[in-house]
Amino acid sequence: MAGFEETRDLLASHYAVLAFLTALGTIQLAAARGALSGVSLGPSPRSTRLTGIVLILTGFAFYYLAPLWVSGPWGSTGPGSGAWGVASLGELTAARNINDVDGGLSGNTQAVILCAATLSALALSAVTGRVRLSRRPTSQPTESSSGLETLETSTLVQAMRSVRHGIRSNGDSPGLRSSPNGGR
Amino acid sequence: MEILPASAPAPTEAGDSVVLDTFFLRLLNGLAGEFVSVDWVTRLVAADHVIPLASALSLLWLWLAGKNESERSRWQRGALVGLVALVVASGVASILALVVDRARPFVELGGIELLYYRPTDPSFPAHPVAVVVAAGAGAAMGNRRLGRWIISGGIAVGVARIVAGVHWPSDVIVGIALGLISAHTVKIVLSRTEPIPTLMTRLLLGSPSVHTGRCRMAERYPQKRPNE
Repeated sequence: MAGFEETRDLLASHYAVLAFLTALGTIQLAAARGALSGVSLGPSPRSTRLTGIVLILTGFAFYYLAPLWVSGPWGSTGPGSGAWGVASLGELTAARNINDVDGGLSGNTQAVILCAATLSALALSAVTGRVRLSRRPTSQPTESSSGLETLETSTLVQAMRSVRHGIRSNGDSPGLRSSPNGGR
Repeated sequence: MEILPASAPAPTEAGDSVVLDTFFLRLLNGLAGEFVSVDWVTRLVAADHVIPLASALSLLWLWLAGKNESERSRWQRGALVGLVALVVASGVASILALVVDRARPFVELGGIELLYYRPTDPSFPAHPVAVVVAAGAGAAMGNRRLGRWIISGGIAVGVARIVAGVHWPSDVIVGIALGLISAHTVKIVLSRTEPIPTLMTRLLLGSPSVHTGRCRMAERYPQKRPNE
């Protein structure tokens, strides 16, 4: 027997795991393609891409298979009945479809969890990238680079500093320059 | 298969559109409960979690994955438009739901096979469809192929929700239109508010030359100055 809050907490925690793993995987896939060493978990683009794919698959596998062994308001039991149990294979895709008035996740709650999970994934990628790049010979962002390309050779913290410095001191950077016709 | 049962609303001043809406709803919802595999896939695609999450993460990928300066600039512009359009479409859909307050098909009609939980909010418009299509239409402005995939995902969500019996076909059509209009409106607004979008993207570690419209065109085709 469980109520609204138990249902919501269970679904929110599982969704947070899904969002974190898939966001981390997406960052890794992007880092592999864009050669962004500063946020890569793997030492090479190939391993980073593989890591990304595995993370995304793990996230979805956990989210959709967990009802097979985790007790919850899944499938035919339903939150309205108040009884919890594990889901059968046939109920798997329906298991997570729970109305927010019964403890399911509303769109706003999902958005907040996704933002938090994405920021956490980015922070973890940045820390890992920093550790790896700290083992390499010192590399500083060049003056000409002020966007994402700084992550190819520097850590996220260095890149953020570079962007902040560029915005403060360099009003004529390409991004802030007005067009010849005054931006119109 | 009974297409228009006695419990269907009689066409009044709305006329043919109500009949068509009911006809296509009955047609698609007739698939529910017939095949286990169709029900299984419908429940998965209609869910709030899979395709909306995938579309949001696609925007994150688009932001980061550009290989060179030009590609990054273009893709980040698409990601920015997609993100803002997603928020705008969601807000407008919420307001429309309050104004129109349309009942769900399973409330209005008899004999609907329900494959989803019974939503308690208004049916019109299809909120998740509007959000996903808005993200896709924005993404398409940077990466057409990815944008098409996301928009296809949004349409799939809409069709699955009709099959599941929780939306009218017209809810889905308006949701798609709302997503497309939101993305194009956001694109126009961002292009007219430079350099604010560029500053925002730079603060988010964007490409230094992300532009959302005319500045970009001016950069691509520079005009000669009088003293040159």
